[in-house]
Amino acid sequence: MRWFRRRALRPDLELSVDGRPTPAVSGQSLLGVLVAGGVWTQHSHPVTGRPEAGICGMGVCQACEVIVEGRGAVRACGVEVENGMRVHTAAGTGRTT
Amino acid sequence: MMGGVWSGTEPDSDPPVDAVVIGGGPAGMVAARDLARMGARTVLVDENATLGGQYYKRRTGEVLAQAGDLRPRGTTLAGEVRAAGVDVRTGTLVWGVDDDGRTVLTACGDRPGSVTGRVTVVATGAHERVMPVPGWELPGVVTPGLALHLATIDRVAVGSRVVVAGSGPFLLQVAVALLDVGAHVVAVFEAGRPYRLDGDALRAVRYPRRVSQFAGYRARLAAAGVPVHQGQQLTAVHGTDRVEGITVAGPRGPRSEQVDAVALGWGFRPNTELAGLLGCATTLDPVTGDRTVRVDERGRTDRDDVVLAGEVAGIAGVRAALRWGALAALVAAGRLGLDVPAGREDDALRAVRTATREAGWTLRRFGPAPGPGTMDDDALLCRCEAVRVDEVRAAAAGDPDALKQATRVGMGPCQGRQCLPALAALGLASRPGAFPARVPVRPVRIGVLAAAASAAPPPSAPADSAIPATGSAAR
Repeated sequence: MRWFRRRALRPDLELSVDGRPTPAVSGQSLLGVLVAGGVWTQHSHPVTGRPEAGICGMGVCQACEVIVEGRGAVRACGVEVENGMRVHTAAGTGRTT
Repeated sequence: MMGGVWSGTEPDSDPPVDAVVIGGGPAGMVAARDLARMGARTVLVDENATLGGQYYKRRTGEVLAQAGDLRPRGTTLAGEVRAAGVDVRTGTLVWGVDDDGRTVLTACGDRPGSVTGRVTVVATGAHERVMPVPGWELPGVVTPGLALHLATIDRVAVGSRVVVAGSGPFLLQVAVALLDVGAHVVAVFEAGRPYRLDGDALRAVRYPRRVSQFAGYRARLAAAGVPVHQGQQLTAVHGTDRVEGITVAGPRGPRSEQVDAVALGWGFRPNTELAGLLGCATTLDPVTGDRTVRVDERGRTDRDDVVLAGEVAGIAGVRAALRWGALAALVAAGRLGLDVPAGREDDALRAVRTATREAGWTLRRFGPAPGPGTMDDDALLCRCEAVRVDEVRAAAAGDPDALKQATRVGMGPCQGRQCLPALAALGLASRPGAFPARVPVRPVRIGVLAAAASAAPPPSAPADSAIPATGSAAR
């Protein structure tokens, strides 16, 4: 573990995920930041209403879709994080995006 | 821009270029670079923000500054593409083909566009093959490719206790990458028995590079105490709101492990959607049941003006893809009437053959993906529409259209991309056009479609394609 910590990246920006301040590193994908923060209820399944999260990371499954203020619904896997980005997931809003 | 060979007089504001290359991965980058160097006016289109595709996916920003360049060769290649004068259009997705059958329709954010090439090189790569198991819809189940990208590009471990399961040479690489970001890899469950010692294994002496790569992964996993189980199939993922555990069919009966993430995949399949929209003839892969593009070993399709390069033509890894890109450039240059030195195409073909032979041997060691017999009735076959395997089996007596009407299978937002391997394994994707790519092949903003529709005759699209926009409108 010590070896891993030595290599951990230093965050250089902060976003808000469901109102929680969340550190991130520029160059990371929004999906990566959500996974790092343990945010696994990213989206509600439009048919079953069950929690779902990205599986493909290539924009195909659309299960990582979240709301980014100012941009609307986006697939988190294809979005690079920006400082001050405000993100809403299905866990935070309870809505089926 | 390099001097082009196109000398037409169409009064279009956006006249055809010589070559359009679709896909900026290893094959597409080499093809575009080489075409431009040979004097062809070349456009390279890729939906990602940076060139590289999946294999040469590149770090950016502080991740790059702090963790370094992941694959410097990809960065070099991307630089060569630009230096050669290629018109690089990143962040631009191709979502359809116009009525002329060769103009590709693009979207760059909200901005619609189109580009026409006298030849089109399709280098759209591959998708991962994930087969349904009960619970694979739970958050925390990811493809090996996503686990790898999270680890290498984002430097994030997908979980703290992870299993890697399915089949293919890729699984070991993913397991090692997970160790690198501090995950505890509980085990690798390889469904095949590729690492057994038998007569065929002796051929490994011909592929020392491949063997040393595997040996390196195995050594790294062994040092970390990660067991690699062969002939063991993951049969279920458990959890309520996310992954909590898995069950594996072991040699002495089912066995369970507590984990918080699963990387699950059975290798790759060619991403042939765009080639399908371009109208290329298809064929049935006898092993996988996939409908693939009919292509010869030079990447030539039944269309004179469409050439395939890389894994869209056949799964064979990055070395083959790079060489296929060079070969496709020569084939395309020949079609453009450019001066190609005698013998160069044959040399390039020999290089492709060497690489694909090695890849073919490797993949044969792993065996095919699981057939219909091993597919659990309770698993969701279609994730988007939540259709179980048994529902599909029950409805499958009819033709694919009746199946779709009865179950909506393959009609959700992913357009069947995720369930196609399972449908193929059940023999339901064999008829040509049974599950065709539909326009738009990629989700685009509705404004792009509106703008494209008002600017030009609408692209031909079957009636069931009315799920155009990304975001809330699509779901």
